[in-house]
Amino acid sequence: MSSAILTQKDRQERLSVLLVLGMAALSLILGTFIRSSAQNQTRPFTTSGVSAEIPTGWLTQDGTADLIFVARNSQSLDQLYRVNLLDGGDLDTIVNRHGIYRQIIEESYRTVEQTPIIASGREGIKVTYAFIDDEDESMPTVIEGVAYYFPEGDQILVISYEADVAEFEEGFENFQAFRSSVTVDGGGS
Amino acid sequence: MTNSHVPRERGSVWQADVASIIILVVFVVLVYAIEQFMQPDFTSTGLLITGIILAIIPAIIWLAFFYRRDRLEPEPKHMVFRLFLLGGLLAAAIGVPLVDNVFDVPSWLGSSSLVTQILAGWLIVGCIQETLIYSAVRFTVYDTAEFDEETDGVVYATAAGIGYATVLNILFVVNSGGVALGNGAIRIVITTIAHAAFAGVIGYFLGRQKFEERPAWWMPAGLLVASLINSVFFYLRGTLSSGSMSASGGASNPWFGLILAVILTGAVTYALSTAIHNNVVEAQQEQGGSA
Repeated sequence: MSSAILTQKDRQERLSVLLVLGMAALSLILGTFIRSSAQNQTRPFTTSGVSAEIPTGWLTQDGTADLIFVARNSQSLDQLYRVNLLDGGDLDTIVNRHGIYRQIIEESYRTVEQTPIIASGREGIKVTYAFIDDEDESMPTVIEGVAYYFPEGDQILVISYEADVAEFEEGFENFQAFRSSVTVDGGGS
Repeated sequence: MTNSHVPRERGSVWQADVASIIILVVFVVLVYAIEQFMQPDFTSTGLLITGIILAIIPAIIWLAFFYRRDRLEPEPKHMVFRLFLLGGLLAAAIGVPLVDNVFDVPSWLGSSSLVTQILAGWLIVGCIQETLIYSAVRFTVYDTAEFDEETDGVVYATAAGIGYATVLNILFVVNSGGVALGNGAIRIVITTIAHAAFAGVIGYFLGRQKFEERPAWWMPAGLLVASLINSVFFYLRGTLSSGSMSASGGASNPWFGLILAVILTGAVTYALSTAIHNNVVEAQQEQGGSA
């Protein structure tokens, strides 16, 4: 009788362990969906006639001159989106001039690749680039970036993404969603 | 309830818990006073070493109080210390890498909505931490003769929880390159007593499962409860601290978090001691009735 009770208790203990481990595994599976959902959450943002969907929790700052705004990941400040509206003209010339301008600001700025693209049915130019962020002299980091240039009426819309080279790929998909969400009054990207 | 076991009250365990909470609060006040009045100037290495010492002190205080107070039936000290070490090892080897690297929680949790923060805190952070505490006890001391009282579950799980918290504190200090004494001590004590409370809940469920006929869902339910308390606590702590920041217009106020942690630990200690007391009374009545 006693051994039968023990066996039943043992079985129950084993079942309990399995349930705990199964529940932990299920929680982690649900956790991956929660993480994915949290990282894809956005909020609408509008400034100077430009609207976009910004990831929730990112900080925004209005720009001056041709810079419309910068959105920065509050948990990883190297990761940012930037939207510019440049004076119009020949697209190739504007792209080259903007690259030279960036090189003046960031001495280490280098264009990696410049290719014509069609994104969301619109023709434009995609530029990939990199530079060294040495604000923290003891620990300089390599920043990777990509900028999309689209004619927007008589102006050029520039949507760019920069991140620490180690985080760039991870955030690229969300940037593509951001890029698609950018609209200019009377136009769209 | 099985006939072979009659639970006993272990007032010394609860007294040790309450005493260590009081001493930890006194410790925080002392460190804060030292910082305010002496304003010590540290080199970066000195700051780091001081921070690591601060991170370890709450564990030493808890272990010391536990050893002194647990006179009625002392647990094997080596076993309590092993659970403490195992909790720390599991944090360093599995818990922290899963939460910080695999789920990358620090990069998105703080900026998420209320529901997401609670759910993620519950199903990711809480579940990982409490499953590891459960595993530390369940797969080591649980099946041994040294686990011979319901209260032992609380004692061993709390030791594992404090080990876990100590590693979190050390990593916090090392990753920050040292901490400001006062605020660092508050954060360290909050982490320690909060994890001790969550682990206490796990230990209570483990203790009753071992000595009573409980349904198979008992332990998973206990894990969910402990994980939920974990999630709600850290959400409230973050909200209260940042709320004070906006109210005063100055820096965040970690004292709210400390008050919350003391309330949580006091409530958990009271709830568990009351539940075990009621269980003892019930068992004694059953035994009296059968005699």
